[in-house]
Amino acid sequence: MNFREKLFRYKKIYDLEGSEDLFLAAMRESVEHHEYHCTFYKELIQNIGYTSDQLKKIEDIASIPAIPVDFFKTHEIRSIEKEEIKIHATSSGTMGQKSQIFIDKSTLKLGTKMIIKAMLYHKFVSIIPTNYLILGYEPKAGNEMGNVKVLTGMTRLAPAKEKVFAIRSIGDAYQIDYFGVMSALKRYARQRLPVRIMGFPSYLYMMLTAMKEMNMPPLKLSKRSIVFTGGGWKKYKDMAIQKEALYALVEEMLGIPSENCRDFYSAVEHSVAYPECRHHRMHVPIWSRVLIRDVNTLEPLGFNQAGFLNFISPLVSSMPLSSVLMGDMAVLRDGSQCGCGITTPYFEILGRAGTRVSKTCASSASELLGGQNGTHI
Amino acid sequence: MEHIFRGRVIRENELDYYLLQLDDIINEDLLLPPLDTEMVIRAIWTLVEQTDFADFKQLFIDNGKADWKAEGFIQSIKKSLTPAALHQKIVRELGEDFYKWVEVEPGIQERQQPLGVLFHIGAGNVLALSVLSVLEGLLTGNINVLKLPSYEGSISLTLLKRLVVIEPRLAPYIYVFDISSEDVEILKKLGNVADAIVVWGSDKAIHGIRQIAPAHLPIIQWGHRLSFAYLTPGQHLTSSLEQFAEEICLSDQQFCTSPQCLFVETDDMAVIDACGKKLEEAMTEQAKKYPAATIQIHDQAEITWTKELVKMASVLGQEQLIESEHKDFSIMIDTQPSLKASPLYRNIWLMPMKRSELLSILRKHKGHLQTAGLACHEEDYDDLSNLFYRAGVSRITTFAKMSQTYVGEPHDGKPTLLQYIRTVCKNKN
Repeated sequence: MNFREKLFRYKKIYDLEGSEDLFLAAMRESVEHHEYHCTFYKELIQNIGYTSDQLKKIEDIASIPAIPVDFFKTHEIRSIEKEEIKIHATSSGTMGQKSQIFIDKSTLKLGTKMIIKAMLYHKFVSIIPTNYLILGYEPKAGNEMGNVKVLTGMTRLAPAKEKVFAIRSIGDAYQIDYFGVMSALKRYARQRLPVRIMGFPSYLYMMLTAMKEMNMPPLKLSKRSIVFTGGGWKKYKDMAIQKEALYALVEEMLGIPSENCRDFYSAVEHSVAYPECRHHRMHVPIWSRVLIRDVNTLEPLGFNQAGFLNFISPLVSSMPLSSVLMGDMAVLRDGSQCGCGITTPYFEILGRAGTRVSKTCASSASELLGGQNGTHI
Repeated sequence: MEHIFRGRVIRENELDYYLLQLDDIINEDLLLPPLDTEMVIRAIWTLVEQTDFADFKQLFIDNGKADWKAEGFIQSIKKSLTPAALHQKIVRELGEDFYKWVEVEPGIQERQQPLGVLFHIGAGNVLALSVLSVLEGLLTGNINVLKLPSYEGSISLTLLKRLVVIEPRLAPYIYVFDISSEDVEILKKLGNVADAIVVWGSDKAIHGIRQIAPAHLPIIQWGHRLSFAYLTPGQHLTSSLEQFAEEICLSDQQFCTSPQCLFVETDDMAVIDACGKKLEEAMTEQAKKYPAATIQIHDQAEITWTKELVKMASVLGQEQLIESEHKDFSIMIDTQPSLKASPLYRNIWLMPMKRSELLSILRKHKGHLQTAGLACHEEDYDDLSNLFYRAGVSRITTFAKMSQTYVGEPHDGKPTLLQYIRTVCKNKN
């Protein structure tokens, strides 16, 4: 068994110190693997004279060349043969180009193991029959968006009594089925079974405000219900509200306690999921490290300083995603005083990076592409 | 929060009360005698003379502009507002006496008439731009309703307040509302009293206004624009690149007239490499002369992000990054020509271009095109400039003059004042 597999078998998923040697060894393996199997990666690191030998202590992971995720929108880069692709996922950007992400069997296996461990840790796995409301696209052949796959996978965490999708496929197009959503919610409330609502925060917010506008009386869903959000506000960022305000609205309109509202950060280009703890913080698990880099020098910054979000993980073997620079600005914070039981650092997303808030009258890239792109799901 | 209602400063808590009367008051004021253009011109110049520009200069500096650049900017605004400059602009765009009836056929007469009420949606990208938009509305005799841009500070409000003090007869023509773009109800109300909406800003801002404006209301839009430079190899190459480097450093590529790409007419990458080196030398010189100002974090993020992507593509030989030692400028070479946005602040795309492909490449962005800087042999000038105009470009200049405008210059191909009036006629036959 290699170090990467050992890391993913490690039991305590937030024990960064105890798993540090394993993580480093797995990162060395990851760099070597991609160097050997991916011509692009080989050239990339050889051009700057980088080798895995330079990974001696944990701080050294900052020196692994970080690839900006937008590169995968314009280039198909793989460390495996076409035949080995198990999943071909794309980012859920509504306009412009999407990242093309290829996942092989071993990544899928370890990724599944990782998700199950995280879900068990956060007590999201249940045997009680559950009603699902998915605020996303109905799965359909040919739809390769990563979030559709993730949301479908999430419905396996508790046995599904019923699944309702908010965005229904009508022939070639999709349509929001408000009526279906509202009647499902009322039906679920009568049944008293736990409900799981998941999808983009924007859709959740639109649903809750629609309930208010229709003067629908607040529902009392089972207290064991959970709301999973993920993917950020994307093109609806003008209407974005604070997380706390959204959770308060959930509690008011659906009767689901705020601590059962959990946002996830995940990105097809990274594949490690970051669920919020009960204090709504996204802690770093043993499978990855998070660096925040200065937007000018790209040097790693300490806690509480804004910069590019950089994920480092040995999870993916099918593409050289060992170190990826995300299109988000973020800060890293000391998690030792969180109080949720997890003491690892956590990060907060501040917004998209690399799209200027237009202060000039010169056209920007997002205007020329016809819209903003979303990279993560 | 303060607003101006019919030239008078009102408080936030009075806003609703006044808005209820807006229709009636404007309907009455539309019957006032035509606004005297000479009076407007005099008032504008008194405003310029009475204004201490030190505060404004500081605002420009706080917004990330270097001291010398802030000074230059203020001087150019002052110059454009002198009575002589304004007269010249009016005569060029509207003719000598545009309110006078002119017989066009026996018994049939025409004259110019203000549109009536202009609703200006200001943009925060250029300081004081909103005021200039209102001044143009006054010069054409219109009642002006301005929605202030966010993040502008109080420049526009202060200046327009002062203008009414200088010339109280302008009061009925000036309304300023410090409201959010989210306040759709008020925006709709203001749109309803207007004869046209003048909107400055991004595609997104313009799109937003189109969503809420009634279908019959004309929208006069001054949107973001994309400019580029085009160079053919020859004797002029070195001096042109020197001018180009100066243009980039002087403007920091902050205007719609600023180049985002430099196309060199060649299919030989060795020529491109040589141009890249020459431009690097020239930029190094100019950057010493005009030191770069500090760049705000989001703009810096875009610059770094773009450069990192270029570095990745350079591994595959598709692109190449030439970066200065202090990272204060860069030349990003792409082997595949296309017109694309650069992250600005002295970062320029350099690409080879074949004349045969030029039109189709430019046409992809026809609605955004504005200025083409052109350096070529005299015998190529007509051919290339015709091609640019046909692609949608409205200004062609030398590399040195891309960001410099002249008095009365059309804006994005249109005389501005002409947009704010209409021609009325009478037939007494």
